[in-house]
Amino acid sequence: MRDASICTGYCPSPRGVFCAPDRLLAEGVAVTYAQFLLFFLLVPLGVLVLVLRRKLLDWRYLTLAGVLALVALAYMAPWDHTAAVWKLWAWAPGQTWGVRWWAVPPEEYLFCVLEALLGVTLTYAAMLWRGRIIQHGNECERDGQQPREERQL
Amino acid sequence: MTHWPYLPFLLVWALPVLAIQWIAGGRYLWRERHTWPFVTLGLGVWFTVADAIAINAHIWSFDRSSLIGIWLGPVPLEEVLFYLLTAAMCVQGFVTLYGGWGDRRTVVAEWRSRIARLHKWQGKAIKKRIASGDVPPQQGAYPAERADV
Repeated sequence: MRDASICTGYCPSPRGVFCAPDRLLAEGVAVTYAQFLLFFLLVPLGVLVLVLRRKLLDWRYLTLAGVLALVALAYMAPWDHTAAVWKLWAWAPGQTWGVRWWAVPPEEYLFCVLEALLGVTLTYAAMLWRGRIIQHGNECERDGQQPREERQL
Repeated sequence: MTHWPYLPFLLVWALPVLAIQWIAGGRYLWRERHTWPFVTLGLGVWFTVADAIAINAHIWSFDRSSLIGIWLGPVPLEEVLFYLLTAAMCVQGFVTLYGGWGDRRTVVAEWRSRIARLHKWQGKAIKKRIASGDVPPQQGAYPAERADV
């Protein structure tokens, strides 16, 4: 158990994050926010990209993924900043890159964009898997046929 | 500045977006009801586990006095809700827009028809007001309603 008295600043919880860096190192805490992003967001996203590969070349998906990631970022930034100013939550200075844009570390913005991309891509994959999206394109062009939507007209 | 607790701050931020998505694209969300709830739930569980690890690694921490005090292990209930609601916003947003994109001609036609109906209704309301003597005819909003045109 860590002694709360060793904390050097604002300590919102018994597991306060604003403890002296030497103490954190002594406890073997090495996970940074960037590593968290890598493991929990970039790796699953990479796996999805590898699985879907050419199926991702769908303009509707690509456009919506980009637009939704930007909208998520724009909607989340002022909210997160306000929460950080109110000290609802705080990030460990030693485990983030140290920069703050507004009161928020850049990793948090990355988290928002990557979460939106992961959510959108996973939904797209689920819709493909369940046959809710019927892809057409290359095979139709190769066979000299009209894409499905136009054939139905 | 007034300091809100986490839970109302989260709900006031997230629920209007979900409501707008259901009003605008309820038909697509209903059509895909066997897809998106599972994706949202899966993402919620994944991020809750990730959050537990991040909290244990002290990457971030919370002001305990702003929480309602229900915890799932190291994770406050508000955080579980945060991941479920943000995942729902992304996933429902995609389902709505993906469906709407395919139906864009129908959607545009529907909105045009709604605006036309509103226009007609406004015209009727103005005629009624003129008939009741509330508005002198020359002050009607539409040229067609004006006695001098």
